[in-house]
Amino acid sequence: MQTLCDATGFSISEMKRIYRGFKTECPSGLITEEAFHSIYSRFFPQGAALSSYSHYVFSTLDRNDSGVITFQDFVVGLSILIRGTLEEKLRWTFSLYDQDRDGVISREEMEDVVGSVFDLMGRTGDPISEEAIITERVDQIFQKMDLNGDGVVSIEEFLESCQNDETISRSVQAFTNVHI
Amino acid sequence: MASVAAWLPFARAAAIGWVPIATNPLPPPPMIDSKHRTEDEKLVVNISGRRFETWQNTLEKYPDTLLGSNEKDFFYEEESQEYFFDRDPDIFRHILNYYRTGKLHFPKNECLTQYDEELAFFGIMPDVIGDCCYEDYRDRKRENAERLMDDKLDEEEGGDGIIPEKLRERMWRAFETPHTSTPALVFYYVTGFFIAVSVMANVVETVSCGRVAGRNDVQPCGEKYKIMFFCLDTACVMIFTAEYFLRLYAAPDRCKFMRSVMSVIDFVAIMPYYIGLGLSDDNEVSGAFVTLRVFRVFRIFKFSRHSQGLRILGYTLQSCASELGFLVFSLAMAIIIFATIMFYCEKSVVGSTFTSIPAAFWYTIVTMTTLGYGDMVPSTMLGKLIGGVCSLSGVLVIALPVPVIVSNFSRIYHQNQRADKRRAQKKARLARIQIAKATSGAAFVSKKKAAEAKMAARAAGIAVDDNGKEDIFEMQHHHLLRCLEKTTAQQQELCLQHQAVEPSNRFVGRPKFPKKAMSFRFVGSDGNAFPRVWIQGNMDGPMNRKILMMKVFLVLDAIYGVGNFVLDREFVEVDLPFNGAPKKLGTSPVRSASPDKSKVPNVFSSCYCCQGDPHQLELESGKATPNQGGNCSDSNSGHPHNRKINIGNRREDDFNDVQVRFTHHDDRHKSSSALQTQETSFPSSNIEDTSGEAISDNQTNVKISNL
Repeated sequence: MQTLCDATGFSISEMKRIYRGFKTECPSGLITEEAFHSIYSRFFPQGAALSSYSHYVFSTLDRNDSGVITFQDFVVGLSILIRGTLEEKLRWTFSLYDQDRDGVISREEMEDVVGSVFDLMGRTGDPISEEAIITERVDQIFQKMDLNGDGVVSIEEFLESCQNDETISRSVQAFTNVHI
Repeated sequence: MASVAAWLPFARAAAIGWVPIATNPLPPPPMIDSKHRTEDEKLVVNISGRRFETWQNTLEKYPDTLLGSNEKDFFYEEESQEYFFDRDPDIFRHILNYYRTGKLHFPKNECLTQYDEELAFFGIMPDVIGDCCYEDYRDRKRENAERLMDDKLDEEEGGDGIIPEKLRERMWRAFETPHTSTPALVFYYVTGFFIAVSVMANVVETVSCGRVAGRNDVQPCGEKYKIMFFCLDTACVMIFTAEYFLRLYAAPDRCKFMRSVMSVIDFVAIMPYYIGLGLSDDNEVSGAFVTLRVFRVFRIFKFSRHSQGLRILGYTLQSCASELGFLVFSLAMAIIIFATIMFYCEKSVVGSTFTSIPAAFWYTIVTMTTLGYGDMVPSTMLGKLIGGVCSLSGVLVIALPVPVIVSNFSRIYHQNQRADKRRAQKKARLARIQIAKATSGAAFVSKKKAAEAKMAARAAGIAVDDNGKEDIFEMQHHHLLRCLEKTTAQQQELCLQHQAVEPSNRFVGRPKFPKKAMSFRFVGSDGNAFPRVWIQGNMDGPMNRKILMMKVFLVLDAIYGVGNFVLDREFVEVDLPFNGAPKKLGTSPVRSASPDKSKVPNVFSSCYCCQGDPHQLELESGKATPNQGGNCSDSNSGHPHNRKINIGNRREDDFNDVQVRFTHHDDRHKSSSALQTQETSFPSSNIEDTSGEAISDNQTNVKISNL
């Protein structure tokens, strides 16, 4: 446990608490994707059934593609998100968007993720207009981030544009003081 | 559901992925004071000695329950720093698991009502029982409800003690429940006998009885003994008609009665006779007449009033109507199919019996039910093949619905058995429970008296040995009852009830055993007479006498209050020597008056000698006996005239004897009791028989009259 604490920067009692919560929820010690999905549907009752956001988060946490998340993965991910620097968080977010891990975010990937976040809200009914909104939003983002205009966003572009953007860096603070 | 609380930090953290998408800045998070942050602490919940420890947030997962809310603070104990509940620890285990895992399970070995109570106490709704156990819970709940309803219906029906007044109601009761009274039983058996006779007559009259002279054919008995059978038939029909009309008269709801199955059967059983009377004995209508006679066989269904098994069979068939329908339908389908095939196979055979498809129906039915009469057999190869398939499938189709019907029958039958058994057991159980209650009730009353006596003694300044701690609760309870008595006192007639534990001797005429009534006349120590108190009731047996004496004192207390006359302390029961033998006048030996100290049991018996004459026992207060009712002048007895009844000292829980001290007339021993008892044996003239009605077993009448 000590090494884990050192690696992640949580205190011992925090680690204990996290582990206890984790173990109560998943007695087997491993989280499968369905479990993840059901957790999300508890938090976002309207739309999480359809949304694939949980899938993206899952695959981001599951670094070695094993299909399950161990406690190690979980706590490492958590530490990045909570205790990491702005850059680490942004990197994590980049890997969330970059599903195929090729180092760049393509337009389709961006659309998928944005669509899934909108799905979390729940479908309001009109898929066409939603598509339009999503496309427009993606265009906006790409415009902002794709600095060299090659149609994909690389990690450096992402980091740079996010750090320079006031809105984004302030918004990141919204999720920082998560206390265990 | 607060199990998500464990994941909330993570979900919030992962939401960082939304950040690039947002066009506007996201709102800042809520500031959380450090004091909101509670370290995780453990609670100890002590359930009747078994300690359960759990994290605090485990319990806080469900804030609308007792343990999750502040309500549990009511049960908090400072010294041991735990929450103490005096409930069942085994069931609490399941309840705590609900908090831990979010699923409430229902154990199969627990009683449903107990479980429900525990859930109600802890504020958990039974609907959160998990799916794995919910069905089981619902089933058992339904069974319980049915059982309770059955019991309640039984009680309403049983209605013991309600004697129907009107003739109609009595008749209806007699018809419906023959075992309740003897004439009903007689009626029941008579009708049963006549049903059997009628059916037998129907059967026998078709048996051949020998040849008719001059003709070749045999003659059935019905022809030979026509008059006799006719008379028999008439008699039976008259009985049935009378029964039908009586039932119709007695029925509470005539329309409903006429529509009921049994009355339809009755009607159909007697109608053919009348119709036959109406028709003349012509040959042209005799065909119809003969048909009518077939309906006479319906009389056999009248037996279903007599047999419960038949009724159950009827219910079963009724309840399995859908299965039976399925059976019939599938059979019909199969018959049509096979008959058609057989017909077309066998059509071409010369001389075949399969002349048409309906003719083939008969073959199919006979084959499918594996009867196989052999009157129609296929000759072609194909026909035989189809015939084989037909018989195999017949077995299957018939075998399928039969288990359903059988299980239905079995269920209904067992339900009936259970209901009957329960009813029989219930009476015995109730009787035993009442005995137990009477004992505890009697003990309670005596304790109460003892306590009050002590109080009075203290008030009067007499020293009393304070043996035994008085329970504060009991003292207050007694006080409450006394207040009630005082409030409701001064009535002319008080009726007290007690449970008779032994069969009583009814107060009918002149009983063999004297001492059915005791009358008490109270004289104060200053000589003022109080109204006479009569106590009538069941005095057989020590228990009843005990209770009776207690009731006497209750009454006295209620009316006069303890302060008006002084009792010596705890009393013991009157030990009256009932051995059931009537005492003759003057034969009973008189117990000599004892000196004041000795205990003299069985003293009341000496009053037998004064049978017929109220014997007055007066206070030893120096007053001469006012000659009301006369002294005991029976010289046979030789017993002293004046007796003093002193309820002597004794220990609290030792109800053995009433010490009755008799002293001689000239013994100036002072007594502190002001009790003058007048015992009478009765011829009723001496006693105002309370309104002439029979005293039921469990009634003690106390009447206060001014004499």
